[in-house]
Amino acid sequence: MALNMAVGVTGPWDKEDHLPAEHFLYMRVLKDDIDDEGWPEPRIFRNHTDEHGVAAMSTDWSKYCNPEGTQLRARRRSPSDYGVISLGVGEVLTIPHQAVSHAPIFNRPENPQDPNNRAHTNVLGPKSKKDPYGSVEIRARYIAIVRVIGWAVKPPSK
Amino acid sequence: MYAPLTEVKVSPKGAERYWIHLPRDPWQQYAFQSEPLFGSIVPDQDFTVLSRTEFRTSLEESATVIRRQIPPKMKGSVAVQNYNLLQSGTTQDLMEVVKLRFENSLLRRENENLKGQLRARAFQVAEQIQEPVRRVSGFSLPSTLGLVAERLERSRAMLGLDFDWDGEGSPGYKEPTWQLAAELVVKTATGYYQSKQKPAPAAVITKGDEGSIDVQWRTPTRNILINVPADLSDDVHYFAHDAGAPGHSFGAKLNPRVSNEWLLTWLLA
Repeated sequence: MALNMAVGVTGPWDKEDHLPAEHFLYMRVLKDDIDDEGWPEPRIFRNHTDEHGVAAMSTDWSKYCNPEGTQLRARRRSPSDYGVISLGVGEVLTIPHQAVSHAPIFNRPENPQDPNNRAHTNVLGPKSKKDPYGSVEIRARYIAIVRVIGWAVKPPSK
Repeated sequence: MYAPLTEVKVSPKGAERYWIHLPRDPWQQYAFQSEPLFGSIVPDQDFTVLSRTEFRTSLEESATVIRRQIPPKMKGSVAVQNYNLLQSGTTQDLMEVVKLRFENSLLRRENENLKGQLRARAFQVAEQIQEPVRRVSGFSLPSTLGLVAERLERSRAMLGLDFDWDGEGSPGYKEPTWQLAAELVVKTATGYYQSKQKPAPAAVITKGDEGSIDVQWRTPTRNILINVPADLSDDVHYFAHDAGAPGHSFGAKLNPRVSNEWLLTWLLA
């Protein structure tokens, strides 16, 4: 712990099992993935497989992050190229086969390609066609949630 | 007995005049029953019928000559009440109207009415044909659906994306996939326009997952998402979501090669 404090590190953090339904999950959306009417394309709701083989959609838990923080965490493109959407935890869990799992990231030394992130949360479960049981319905329901809540950080115009 | 029509063909002739081909005289009154007939359609002018001989002559002579040769009983203008008798449709509908009338042997009693309907329909067909169209990669849409055409055109940008365009190994988008998505959009939008006589909402056409293409129609509370797969042998699926009554949402497979205007009817209900 003394070493951690000396370099400004506060982790590692325990994984928390319970995410309250009224909390939010923040997710970046690249401006290129926004449609003619200013909403995210359905394809953004898809899983990425990490180095441990876990297929999930990465988000940030509102308990440890705000939408601006999620935007600033962008690595592949400038943060200003992204908007941020918020998904209610309770709403996500109403979508078939979806599960939410807090998965804080902590590496020492910190990996610049995968920065430490206490808020990091995986949304597990099939989404697109390449996933077993993935379906149009699942992505349509994600879109419906976004359209109710709107943007947490508005994206730049294309 | 009255022989049913076997063919009605509408083809442009010049900038404003259109001809329908009537293999039989629908009214059995014409003096040249042994010859195929041609109906001359010019909006806001008389609907006239010519025999084949007269038709050929008309191609060589002036409009004045044509008018002189038309028997008076086959001429007539379109009354306002007749003009609105029939809803939208195609030349096939026009043929069906005539056929049905023949088969029901109502021709004699309703002769005048039929003529009025046929004239009205002919004018309507002419109007539809003459409505300016927007063309997008082989598809034609009425100019009223200009926004649909614009979005289709813009969506073609995705065809320029090659493998790994997103840095995540995603495949590019193929022309046949776009063509099928466009066919779905065009047939559904025009089908809705023709059946409801009002413009269909513009679809949103976007990059889907794994080379597929997503098509959406939406209102503030309802959303239809259709996924056209990259592999055209796979099924097209849709899901219709109602935020006001999520329990009433529904989805299934969809035939993209026919008009699915019923989806838009649900969306806008």
